[in-house]
Amino acid sequence: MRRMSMVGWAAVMVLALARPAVAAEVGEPAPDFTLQDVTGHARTLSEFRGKIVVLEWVNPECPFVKKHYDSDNMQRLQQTAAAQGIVWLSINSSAIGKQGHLSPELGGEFLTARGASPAALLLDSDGAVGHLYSAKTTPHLFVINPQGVLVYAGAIDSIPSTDAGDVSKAVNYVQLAINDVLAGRPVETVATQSYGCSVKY
Amino acid sequence: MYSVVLSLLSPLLPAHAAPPPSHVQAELVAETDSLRPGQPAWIAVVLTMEPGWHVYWHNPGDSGLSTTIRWDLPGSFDIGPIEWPAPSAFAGSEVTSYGYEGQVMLMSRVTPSADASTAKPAMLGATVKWLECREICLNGSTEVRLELPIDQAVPQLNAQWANAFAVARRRLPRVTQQWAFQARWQARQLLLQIQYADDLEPELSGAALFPLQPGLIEHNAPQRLTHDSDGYTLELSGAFVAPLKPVDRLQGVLVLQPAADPGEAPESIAVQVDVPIERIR
Repeated sequence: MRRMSMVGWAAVMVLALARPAVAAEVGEPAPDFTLQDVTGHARTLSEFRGKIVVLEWVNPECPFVKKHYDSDNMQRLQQTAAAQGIVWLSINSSAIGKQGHLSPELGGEFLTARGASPAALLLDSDGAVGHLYSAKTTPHLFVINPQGVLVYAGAIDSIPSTDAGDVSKAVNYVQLAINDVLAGRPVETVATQSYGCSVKY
Repeated sequence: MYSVVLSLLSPLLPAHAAPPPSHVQAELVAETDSLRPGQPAWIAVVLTMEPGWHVYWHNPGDSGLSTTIRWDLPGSFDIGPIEWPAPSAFAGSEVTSYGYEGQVMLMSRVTPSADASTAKPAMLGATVKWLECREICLNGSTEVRLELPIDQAVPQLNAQWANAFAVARRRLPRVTQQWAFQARWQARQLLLQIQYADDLEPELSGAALFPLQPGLIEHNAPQRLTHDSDGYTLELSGAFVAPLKPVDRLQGVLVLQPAADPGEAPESIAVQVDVPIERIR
């Protein structure tokens, strides 16, 4: 049996203790949170219990986000979700002074300019909710079922690029997860590695 | 020999906004002043970045986008893959990505066919696409060209670039005979065992593994190097998200940092890793 040096064991112990717990885990209850939307109202995740909820991390300046907004892909997903009674929450975790930071005014302008129709655009400039969900990129998508369980986390679709032409060729994991939940099936693809620009905490 | 750089900025920006200036310049260069039919030679796309800006490796890591080269060469020319230099890690909050800053040479071996015409120079071209990031990210895209004579004479080294090619090639991640690797899963950790072939094992002060496969390890997690009588072990955290297709090999670049005696600053050693992973997750 190999014996590790004292330094080796100490290092392993430190590693085990230092690794942060991931709050949002697929298959577990989605962590609750409260954020202000662009109209100044506080919105809480648990107020939407009983409905499918989609969380979309957004930064209007990011080329990967622009891919999905320039192609109208995100807007169509939001409209379809609304028609299906799904609550779509866009979340902006860009810190004040960082790229893509949205004030309530700028957030409202973004929604109008893009014809976007999430149920709410939530402002998370201190990044607390971003870190709670370990949101790494914009976009980064999460799907929560009506029982409040996180059933999908990851990329919006299967082609990690900034090319709007790839949208129609890609598999849309968010739409697939929604379809599975609506049909009462277990979600087939529960997690993928997200792609995009880093969230500007 | 001349190089022409045409900057074509991203068409993905809203039409009403003026495209922002690129912070990365690209050019196509060659190690020699001519090419010889049937003889391999080195050419490279050189990306020069303004301070603070970086572009991405083949595996960009948690965010970003790979740098790509699409070659436009005479039909009779054979071109090899990009020889990626060892990347650096750019760590942010929640994300770590892999890429390059300053200047990077992305070289490939080109071989004109044995019957390539020497009547006129060959035009070599490439479309280079990248994502350049500092605090923000911008798409970058450029067409680069290089005209080179094709000649039966022995090609002469290019005065401007030959030294850069030699230095870059020496630093490329090497296939090593001196180090042996084994990889295995242990719960959610991927352990890379590193053993030296000789009794005189060099002392390492650190190591970093850059995986070629995205989604295998948690890029943002610390990598801890431990040492025992059997050698070194690099502890990698498995990705929180299991890949869609199980990954049964660990492939990537391992950068080893030799321990320094006072007054020394030894260069890091980049080696290629390509081993099966025991016990698939």
